[in-house]
Amino acid sequence: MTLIIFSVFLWGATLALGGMAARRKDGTFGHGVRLALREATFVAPRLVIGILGAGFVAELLPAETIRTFLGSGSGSLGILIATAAGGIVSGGPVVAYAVGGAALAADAGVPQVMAFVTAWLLFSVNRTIVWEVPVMGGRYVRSRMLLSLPVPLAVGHLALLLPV
Amino acid sequence: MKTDYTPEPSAGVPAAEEGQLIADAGTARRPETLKRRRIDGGFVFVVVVALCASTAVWILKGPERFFAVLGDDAQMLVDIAPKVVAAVLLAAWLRLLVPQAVIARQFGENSGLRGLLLAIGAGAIVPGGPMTAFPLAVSFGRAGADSGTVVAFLSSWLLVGFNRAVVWEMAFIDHSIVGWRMALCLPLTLLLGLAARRLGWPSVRMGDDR
Repeated sequence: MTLIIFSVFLWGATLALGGMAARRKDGTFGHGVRLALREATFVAPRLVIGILGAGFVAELLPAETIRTFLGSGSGSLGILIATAAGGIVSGGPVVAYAVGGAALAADAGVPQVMAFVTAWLLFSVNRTIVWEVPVMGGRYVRSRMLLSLPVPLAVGHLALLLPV
Repeated sequence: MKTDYTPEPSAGVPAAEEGQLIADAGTARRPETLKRRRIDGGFVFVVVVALCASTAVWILKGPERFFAVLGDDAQMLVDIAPKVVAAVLLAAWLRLLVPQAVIARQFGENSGLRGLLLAIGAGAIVPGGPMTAFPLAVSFGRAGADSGTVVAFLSSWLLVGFNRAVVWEMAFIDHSIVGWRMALCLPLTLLLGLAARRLGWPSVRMGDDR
């Protein structure tokens, strides 16, 4: 059900914007398609390799260990471990989400994986050093990070109450 | 840590204007160089891990498991392909139809709760990776937005950014889990913005800041 609503929303928005671009009759439509194609040639190989890699890595993960430390029964300790892991995992979204997906496949709990993903989103080492500090300034970044510190833990614990 | 820094001159690089459409495309790069390479350190790393893991599965678990995993992965790729197509088209047209200057102007004029909510909405839909989002946040501050608005925008871009979620997160993690995570994160972006506003940080970078 959520998938249907989501797909309708995604394609509805895409078609609406495409229609607006086409109505301008100034090449915006074609320009957008070319931009999208270029982006797709960047994204596609990463997704293909990432998904294949994540599948094989999940097959090799020690499910018993994952279940003990990050399984749905691991509770607050698991959320804390996952948060720390998300904060230190290096690399872009392919690596981070592939790790999250592989952990799920190897029986990690949903709240733990949510905490991991949230921590990576907020504290990604690469993005912070390469982009955020030079553009926003170190003082700002330190403040934002301190403020955001409880967020992955909050998300994980709220997720414990979810029906998924 | 490897950051793939390529010291190329930025002159004559048309990519600088168009930048990067999809948030956080894995190749974080220094702001001076707005051009991405198709093959970079991060991509090579993922390829090596995939090759090692697939070989290990073949040897340790046998060809049957290998092909079973491969089949599942192929199914997953078929499932996500149309979503990725829609998402890159959406990002490209959105970027062309809504100039960033228009967005930035909105935030100088809208403070209060309205400003925060607008910032959260903008963060959720703005297409673009770190090379777009951070400079945009700076331009909000210059246009007169307070630190709460800037923090709310960046937190929203990070936590509930629609494009990153569709292209990258949903490719690896079940869509209902992604949806719930975003639903849980959404109110937290407002709390982060309110807290930053209450703490009263400057919203623009101070001269002595490193």
